[in-house]
Amino acid sequence: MPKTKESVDTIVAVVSPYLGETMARAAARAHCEKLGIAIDGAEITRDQLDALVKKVAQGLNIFVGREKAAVVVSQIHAAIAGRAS
Amino acid sequence: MSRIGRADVAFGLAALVAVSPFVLHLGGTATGATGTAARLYLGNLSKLTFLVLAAASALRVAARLEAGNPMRGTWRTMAAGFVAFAAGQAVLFTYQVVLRLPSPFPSLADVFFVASYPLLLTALVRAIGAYAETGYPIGTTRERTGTTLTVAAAAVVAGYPALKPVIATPAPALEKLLNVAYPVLDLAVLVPVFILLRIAIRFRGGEVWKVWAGLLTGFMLMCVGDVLFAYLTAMGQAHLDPLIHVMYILSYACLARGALGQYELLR
Repeated sequence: MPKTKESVDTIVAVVSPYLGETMARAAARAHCEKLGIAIDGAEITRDQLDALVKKVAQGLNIFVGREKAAVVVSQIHAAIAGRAS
Repeated sequence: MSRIGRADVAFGLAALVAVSPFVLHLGGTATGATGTAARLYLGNLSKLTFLVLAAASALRVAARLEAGNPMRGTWRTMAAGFVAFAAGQAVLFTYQVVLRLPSPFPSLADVFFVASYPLLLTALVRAIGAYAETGYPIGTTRERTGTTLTVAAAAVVAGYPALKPVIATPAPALEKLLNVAYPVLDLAVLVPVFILLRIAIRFRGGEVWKVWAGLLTGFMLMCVGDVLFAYLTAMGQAHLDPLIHVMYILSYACLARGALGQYELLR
């Protein structure tokens, strides 16, 4: 299972060019809290990660549209998979 | 340099070129026939071009966003506001450049300008709602209420002394009404502008911030231009007119850059 902090950092890194790092990190943290994901927890489950990415993408969708948001989601998953391997 | 960086530079240069004859005139140079012609053609053409670009970009954004996206309605309404504004500017362009006549005030252009305000105001209020729907930490309703009250109070404090001579100066009723209406409408627009600025600043460093920084700066400069227009007209300070044109050109350039930036973000 991927590490929580690393996964959050990856999400932040991918969405920062759109949202800015401050908002990207704040949004990821806020959604972690809402989803009951412990940021300082050791590992994040696949379901938790999918739910977190989905929440961040839903907000991003409003600014960049569904198509671009889907591309960003793919980039997040690819980056996390790349880190895990 | 990235595509977005190149566009920023191009916009900056275009705006700089467009305002230069006005800035030179304020500095006491370019007062001859060439300077007058440069201000007439460059001023009118740049304003119309920037506004048409803002309207076209906003329309393309609205068309590209999928149904159900809360920003779609925002951009549709903003596009309608920009189209009305561009139509007003086209009327002024026709008088001044095509017919070579001083544009009357009031004129048909004012019908379009006045019509654009409720559209732009609605678009900005809808944008606040759309930001709230992101689920991102954009601040509380209490913060937004506080901003509304503060900006409204500041608008009254700043607007009253600026508008007092406008009201006191004898002028035809419709002219006076418009000279008061434009700054008042602008000050009303400033309320959602400042709320959005407080929200958008949390996105600094990202492309979303650049889009909204452009748009919101554009609206603020428009407000400054309208207040100056009303005040300087009432005070008979015609020699400062170039300053008003500088504000309008920079305002429309910022609006166009913001709208085009949003379109680029969707591509």
